[in-house]
Amino acid sequence: MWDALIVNPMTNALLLFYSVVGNNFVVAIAIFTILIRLLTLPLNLRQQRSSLKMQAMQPQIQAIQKKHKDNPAKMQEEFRKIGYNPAEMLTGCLPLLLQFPILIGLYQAIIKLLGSTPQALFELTDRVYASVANWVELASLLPIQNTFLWMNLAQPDPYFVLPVLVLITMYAQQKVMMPPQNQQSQKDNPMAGMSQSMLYTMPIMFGFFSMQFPAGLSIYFVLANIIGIGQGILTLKTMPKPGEQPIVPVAVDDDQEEEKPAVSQAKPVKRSAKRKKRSAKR
Amino acid sequence: MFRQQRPLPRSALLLALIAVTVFLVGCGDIIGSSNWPGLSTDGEQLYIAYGGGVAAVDVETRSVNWVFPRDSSPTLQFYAPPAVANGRLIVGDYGASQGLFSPNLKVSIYALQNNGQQFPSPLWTADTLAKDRIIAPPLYVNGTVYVGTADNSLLALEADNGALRWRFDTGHSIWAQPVYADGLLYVASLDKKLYALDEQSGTEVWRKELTGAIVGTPALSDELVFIGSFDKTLHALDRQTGAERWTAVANDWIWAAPVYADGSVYFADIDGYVYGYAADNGQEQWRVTLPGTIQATPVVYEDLLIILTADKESALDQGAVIALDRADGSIRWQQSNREPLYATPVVIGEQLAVAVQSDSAILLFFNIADGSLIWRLPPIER
Repeated sequence: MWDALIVNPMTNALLLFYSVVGNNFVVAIAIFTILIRLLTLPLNLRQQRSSLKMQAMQPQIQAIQKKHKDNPAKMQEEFRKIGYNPAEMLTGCLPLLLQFPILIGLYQAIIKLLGSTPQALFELTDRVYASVANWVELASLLPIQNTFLWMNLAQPDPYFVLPVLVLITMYAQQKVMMPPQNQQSQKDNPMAGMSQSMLYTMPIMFGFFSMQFPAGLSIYFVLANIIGIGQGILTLKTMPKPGEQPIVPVAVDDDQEEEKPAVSQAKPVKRSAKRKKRSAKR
Repeated sequence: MFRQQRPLPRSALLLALIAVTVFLVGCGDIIGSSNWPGLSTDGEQLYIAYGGGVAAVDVETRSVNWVFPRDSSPTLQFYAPPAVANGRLIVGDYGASQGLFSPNLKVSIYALQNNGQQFPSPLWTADTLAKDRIIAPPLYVNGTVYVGTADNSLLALEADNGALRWRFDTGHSIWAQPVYADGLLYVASLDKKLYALDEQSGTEVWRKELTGAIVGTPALSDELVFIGSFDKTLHALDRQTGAERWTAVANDWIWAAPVYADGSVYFADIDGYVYGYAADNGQEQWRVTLPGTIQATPVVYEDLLIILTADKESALDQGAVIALDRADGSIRWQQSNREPLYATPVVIGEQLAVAVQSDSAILLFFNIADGSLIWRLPPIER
């Protein structure tokens, strides 16, 4: 099932791209990366926007949590009022979740396509769809050209260039994706704290693992990160800047004024009695 | 409810991503390295390279005499059968990782003094010459060891000390054992070319470019060199010049190496077709179709041509050992096997040794006269 749904389609797509671009596996991986990024673009944008939004709302969320820690129902109601839905925020994790099948599937597809042993090469022929095999003239296409510059794409980069590039580009991507924060917000906001820790741990971790991954997979990481950086910059440009169009929380309660959050980007606005009633009905 | 509001899911996802990455790193070698077993023999013992070592099997006592290396390593693998000649064993490994902080494989070529039933004594080890795994069986000729590597090179090493005499680079991996005759080495590469090299200097005498990769060892007659390719064609080339004398078109890719015997050349394709051709003029003598696919090189024994098949589509037995009459391709005997059969078999005495990838056995021994199963060797415990 896994092979049929994930690995084989990826394998055939890579093979098609490889054939179309004149037998250059790195270019095939680049096209594949762009395609995957395009397919996941709506999700990625949503995730980034949701992340930025959540970041901005953290002071209000924390205030509500603190105030209604013994009354979860009330807390939920207040969350609804300020437009914060934890379940919706969870869907923002979908792009991260999607990385799993893509990462594992691509890893396996690259290994299988490069067919580094007779058994692996022979088993590859079973994975190629008949229509693809005919279209690309499989016999003349195999084995895949496994060298690029100084690298064997099925082996890790012996000179550590790719691991360093993975580290740098992933750091840059994390940095771009992360909303600007001041020290106080980091202290009070666990989300910001985690973003800060991911800013360093993810690049180091992936850079380290790229020392063991096939160079082909590391190239995918580098390209995906570069596209991610571009996407992040674009999203930040299209997002309203703080102060321009603030996220407008609603007054939590009549006595909210007494417990204003430490950092707030907008003044609470009192709702009319009618709207309060409608909200309570919902 | 309260927990929902914390950003725990992201942390959990991050942890899971780390776990998956660790899994990928850990399994990388396993996924990319497995292969079919490799067999060779010196007439006294049978040698099988499969997984963690090379085992010497005593066919008389039906036991394993020794396994090299003595201590198994989870990262060290052997699939290329050893070259056995002049009292020596030459074998190459698939390379061992040098730790988390080194991306380079340490690929070693071992020369061992063959002590028969006793564990072989090490002569020398060359572990800096090959950068990628040894898949092709080495060749020992006139005091020189020739080793094809997956990093596209043919290495010529002094048999006495492992010193590099010369290196010849091709455009892709070398999976086929080179062949030697009259001062020339014939080397097939996955770069779709067959090279004829001067044995002394390693200089190229001629090359023949085909339209498909070559994974099988060339076969030689007195005048011709025969090579099968993914281009679905058997090519008969002049041994001295590389000029094409004749070709025979097969039904599908030719994976298994062709074999030459008594004026005929025999070859098989992955669609299950087996062909007999007159070697001098390329006249087809016969062809038969067998169920499944054929990767293992056919073996000639007297008037028999032994073929191994693999049929993964079959619900029951997925492999077969089939003995054809070399005169007309008719089936003399056949034995079914539960597992598909891919590795080239060898004949030792009156027995045909067949390697299998099974939980219950790694070697099957058949009576080559009638195909009856004589004994099976269970997986070797280490």
